[in-house]
Amino acid sequence: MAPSDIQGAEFARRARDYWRVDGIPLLVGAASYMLLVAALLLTLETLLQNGSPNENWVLRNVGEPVAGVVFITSPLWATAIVIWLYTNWEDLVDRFKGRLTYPRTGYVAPPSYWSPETKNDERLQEAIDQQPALQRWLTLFSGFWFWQLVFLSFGVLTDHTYLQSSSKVKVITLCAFLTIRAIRFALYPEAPSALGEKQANPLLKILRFFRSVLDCLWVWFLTSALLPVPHTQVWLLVFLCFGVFFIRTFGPVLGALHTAEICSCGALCAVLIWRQTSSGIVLALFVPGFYAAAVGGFRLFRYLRASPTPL
Amino acid sequence: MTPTTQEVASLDRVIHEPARLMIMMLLYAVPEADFLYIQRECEFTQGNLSSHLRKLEEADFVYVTKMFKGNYPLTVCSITKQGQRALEKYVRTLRSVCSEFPDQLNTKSRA
Repeated sequence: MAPSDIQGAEFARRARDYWRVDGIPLLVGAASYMLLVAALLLTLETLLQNGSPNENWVLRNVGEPVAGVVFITSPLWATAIVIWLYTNWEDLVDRFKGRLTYPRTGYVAPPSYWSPETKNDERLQEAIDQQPALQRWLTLFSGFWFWQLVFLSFGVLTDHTYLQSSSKVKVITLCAFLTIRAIRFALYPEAPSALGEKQANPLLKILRFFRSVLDCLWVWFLTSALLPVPHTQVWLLVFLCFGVFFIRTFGPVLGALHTAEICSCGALCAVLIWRQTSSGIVLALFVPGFYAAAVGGFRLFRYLRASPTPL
Repeated sequence: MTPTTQEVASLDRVIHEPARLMIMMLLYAVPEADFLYIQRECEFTQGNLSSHLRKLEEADFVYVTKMFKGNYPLTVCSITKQGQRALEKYVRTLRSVCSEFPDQLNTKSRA
């Protein structure tokens, strides 16, 4: 008997939904996103303005000794923030839940416990071990970190970033990247979610295939770099892709964020189109975070009202 | 009586009790859950849940441990491997017995 025969029950669905019912994951996700955007904006500001005291708002407004340290170290701590958020995000949410949710309505293991690696289910573990070598290699070559390494190496070796390189190189890179991803997901399609998606419909299969192939930051990054727009607007598109990527990455954990994703990106585009000022652009980058925070705050308020005191 | 129908007698009586079956199904579906969560989901009283959990623990179907999340103590329960196997066997047996039921019913109604 497959585990899903019993796991597909109402209990499993309710337990999975329980993780996001109080809005805390959304609030933490929103705060993380805004922190990340702030760090990246600061990094870009320091990198793009060449650190001149007259042009750089950090040096102008904060004061030179402090700003100097921030200026020099900003790429480092922006990277550190990204790594810390990726590794500690669930612990952070769990800590808040330990104070607010678990004493009120009980505790269920967080989502990482549900993954086959940590659930310690022998049959699922066997299935992972039986993954073909070709699949593992294709997954590696079609993934984010491999290409990050390629681009970094390319930038270091040629003394050029990939955005400044020729269009021909970018087109070839994009085609190679898409081909590898297409082969990977054609041979080994992504498994449907545990909540029981329909598998029989061929249209759904095709849609899932294209979603899998395109669902990577580098696809949108390279595509945006190919667009015939001025340099600053390329960066804005890169940021837009980054926002979508961030929400998509945390989406399954945060819950039904598809509407939030569409709304926030729509708002982002609108602000970018209508307001070409720097404040408008900064505001646009923070829009997904504000939206998620509002939804999370509303859910938390509703949850606390429904369960006012610990039992 | 067919051999399949006779399998009813081999159903595990620890799991067969409705409240304990509910607890087992819930714990099969989640990696671990605490006392309060099970109590709310299954709508049991504290004493009722406590006594059923004790019986499941005695049968080695459920593992109960105490831990802290922040400053709050939690009684966390999870299903054991033996419990998983027992529940799967129980469901399998019940399904195979029930699969014979409609045929017998049709024969009876025709007669």
